[in-house]
Amino acid sequence: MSTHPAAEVGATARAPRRRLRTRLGGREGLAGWTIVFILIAVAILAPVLAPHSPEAIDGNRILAAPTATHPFGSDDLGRDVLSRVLYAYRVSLGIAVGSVLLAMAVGLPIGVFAGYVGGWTDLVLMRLIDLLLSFPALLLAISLIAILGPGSLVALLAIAIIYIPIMARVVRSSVLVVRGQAYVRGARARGASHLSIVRGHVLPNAIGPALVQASVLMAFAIVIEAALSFLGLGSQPPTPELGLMLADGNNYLTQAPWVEIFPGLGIAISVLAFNLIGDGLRRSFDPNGITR
Amino acid sequence: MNAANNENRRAEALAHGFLSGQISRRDLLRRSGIFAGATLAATTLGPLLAACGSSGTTSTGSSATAGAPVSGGTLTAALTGNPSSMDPAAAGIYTSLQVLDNIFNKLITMDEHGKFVGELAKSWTQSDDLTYTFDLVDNATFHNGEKFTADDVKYTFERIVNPKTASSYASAYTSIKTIEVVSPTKVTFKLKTPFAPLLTNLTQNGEIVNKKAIESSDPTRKPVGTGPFQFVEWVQGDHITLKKNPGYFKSGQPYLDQIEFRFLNVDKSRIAALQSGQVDWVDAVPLDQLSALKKNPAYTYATSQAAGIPDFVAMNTSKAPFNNKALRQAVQAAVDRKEILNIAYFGAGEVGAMEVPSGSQWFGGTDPYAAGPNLAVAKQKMAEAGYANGLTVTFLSLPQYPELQKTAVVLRDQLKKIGINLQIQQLEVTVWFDRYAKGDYQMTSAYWSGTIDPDNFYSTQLVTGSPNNYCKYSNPQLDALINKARSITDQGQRKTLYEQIRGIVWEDAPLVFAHYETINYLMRKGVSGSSVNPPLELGLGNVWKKK
Repeated sequence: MSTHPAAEVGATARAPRRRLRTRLGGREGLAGWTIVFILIAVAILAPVLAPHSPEAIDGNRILAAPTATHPFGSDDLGRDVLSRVLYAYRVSLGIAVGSVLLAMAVGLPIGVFAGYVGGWTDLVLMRLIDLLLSFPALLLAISLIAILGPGSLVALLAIAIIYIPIMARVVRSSVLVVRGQAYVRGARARGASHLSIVRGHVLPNAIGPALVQASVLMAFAIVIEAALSFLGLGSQPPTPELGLMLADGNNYLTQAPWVEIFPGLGIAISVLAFNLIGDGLRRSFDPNGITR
Repeated sequence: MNAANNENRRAEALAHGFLSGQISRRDLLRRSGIFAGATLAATTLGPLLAACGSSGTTSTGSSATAGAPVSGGTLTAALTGNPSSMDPAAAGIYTSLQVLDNIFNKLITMDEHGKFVGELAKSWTQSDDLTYTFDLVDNATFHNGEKFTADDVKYTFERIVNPKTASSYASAYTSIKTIEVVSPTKVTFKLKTPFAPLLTNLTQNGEIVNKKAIESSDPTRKPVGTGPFQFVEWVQGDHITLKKNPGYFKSGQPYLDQIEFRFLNVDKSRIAALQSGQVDWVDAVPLDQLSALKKNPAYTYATSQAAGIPDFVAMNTSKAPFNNKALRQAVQAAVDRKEILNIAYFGAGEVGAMEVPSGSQWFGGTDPYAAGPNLAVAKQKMAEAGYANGLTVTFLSLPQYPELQKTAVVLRDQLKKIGINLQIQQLEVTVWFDRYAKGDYQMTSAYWSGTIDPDNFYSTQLVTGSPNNYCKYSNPQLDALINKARSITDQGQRKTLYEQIRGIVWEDAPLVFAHYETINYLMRKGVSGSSVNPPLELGLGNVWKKK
């Protein structure tokens, strides 16, 4: 995405010193990125940061309230909620990023190809994509899991499949816009090959909305993964996973709200961060609102 | 043959109802008891059914605090779900039976400790293996004014076994050859084959009905019995109201003027309704709140050490790795049931030693790991089994039942110590049941009743080829013992036989008992006399309420 500064596509040229912040999505985006980086650091450093083992069962601390050594309290098996939340980010962020990258890897070429070539190719590809889109997201994921069996990796795959048509559609729409631009027609007139036009002109200029979409989808991925785990279809116990922890805590909401509240906050913060990034990027990359 | 088919159909319908979420696990438990009795039909219902059969409980006596009974008042009781039918021959569902326990009487019942006591039968004798004679009370009257006689007994049981009735308990009484009316107050049951669980079955299902009442109106909506309360109204989905039967044959009873049953299937809303004073009595206290509520002086708590549901860890003995006896023994030695009780069940219930609870008359035998797990033995067995370096096992878990799910996690922790790595796989009940029934599993949590009579458990779970033998276990020596124990009627001999049977089960470990779930009632302090008995009858005839 480097050769053609995205700002050129937008109507206004901005001052260079503001460019980086703009690319990251302005003040909102910056806040989002900061939180995401902190969360990624937390996930990577979980073994160092977590005060206890996330799977250590303690019969003396069943549903025990928060204390200095267990700041988030303990769950129904006496496990430390803080440690479990920290470890849970590994699964949640892994799935969020992994599923979106996978969806991009498949959806982006489809969208670019369909949008750039157009005609019958576009029609056929897009109807196939519509077919996938017509399934409600959770239903599609649940059907896949029913076939493949539950697990974190299957959840990742299921979410990626849900996202492929969304990615492909967004990319296609922005490719359609870019395809008609004067610089593309100029390149054609110059005799440039299709491949080099796509690489050099179409892709860099069309990718903005896809990136916006990607960040928003990451937020959704966390929610979908949590929902799947809540339903027992995602990660399997005793894996520390935010949705699974929510499902557990739900049983004890009145006596031990901390079992529910902290994983819930954990989900909320990560979703907020990705949404901030998404909103910021949208303002910078997608002023026309293709991803809306 | 036809009857057996019917039985299968009913069992399957029950399984479907359960699996599709129309019937809660507790309902299922009580309903399945219906099937557990005699020739357990070749159903695929296995574990579902089992739990129902033996869900008896006895009261701790904590409710017997309040001095002399007082008359009057309305008791509002919160049940765990909607009843299905008011016809005792058709209403298998737990909550239906809880209502019917107050409208009808059985010939005999059980006290809190599992001892048989007479109801409509004053006394009974068994003259040989095949003949039981009951002397009946002469002062009982049905709510429609008909006098209770031996003809009603004959009619009741003939109606139950008649395929046209499609009674869910037919299998409990198929061993009956004839019922002879000797006099209006004496009736004789003649059996085809010796059948030890007959009396137990009479306490579970066998509400005496009146022919005239059944034929003159709709028995599914207008129940007419001899019980302490008369049916008033049933507002579907909301409540059932019963009023005092002034002509009840037990003098002085009932104490209450009226009972209102409400149906609250969410655990938390039942407790909330009790706390806000909307109801006086609730069934099924959520385990996580149990210890706090038990100690709360505003409430009286009743449970029983004589009835409930045994939960166990089933291993598939027909396939690797658990076709390896030493490996099963290693698991048996490594499981810390005390920890499972304390952590997975919040300390509620009992350490699971066998199919019956400690308060049962059948409780006995020498549990090899009564003192706790023995990791040295377990590790030695692991080596003997050829798994000195450990192995990975898939454990099917049921997230719908939080306690079973937690048991899986605790078990994983325990088995890790001897090198068994459990990979927990959560399954939806339908999928789980399918795989469990087909033997497409390595290890899983399961439950089955059988509490009242051990035969309910062993002849369904562990006899070679039994349709509910999901451990796929086969041991001719055990089969012979189980069959012997069910066909003799001497209680002492049977008890000894069941101790031998347990010895084999502990030694061979096709399944490992993990926990014994007990039944819990909670009521406002002013309510007295409510107790849990092994058939899980909710008899409110001797319950009173202080203003």
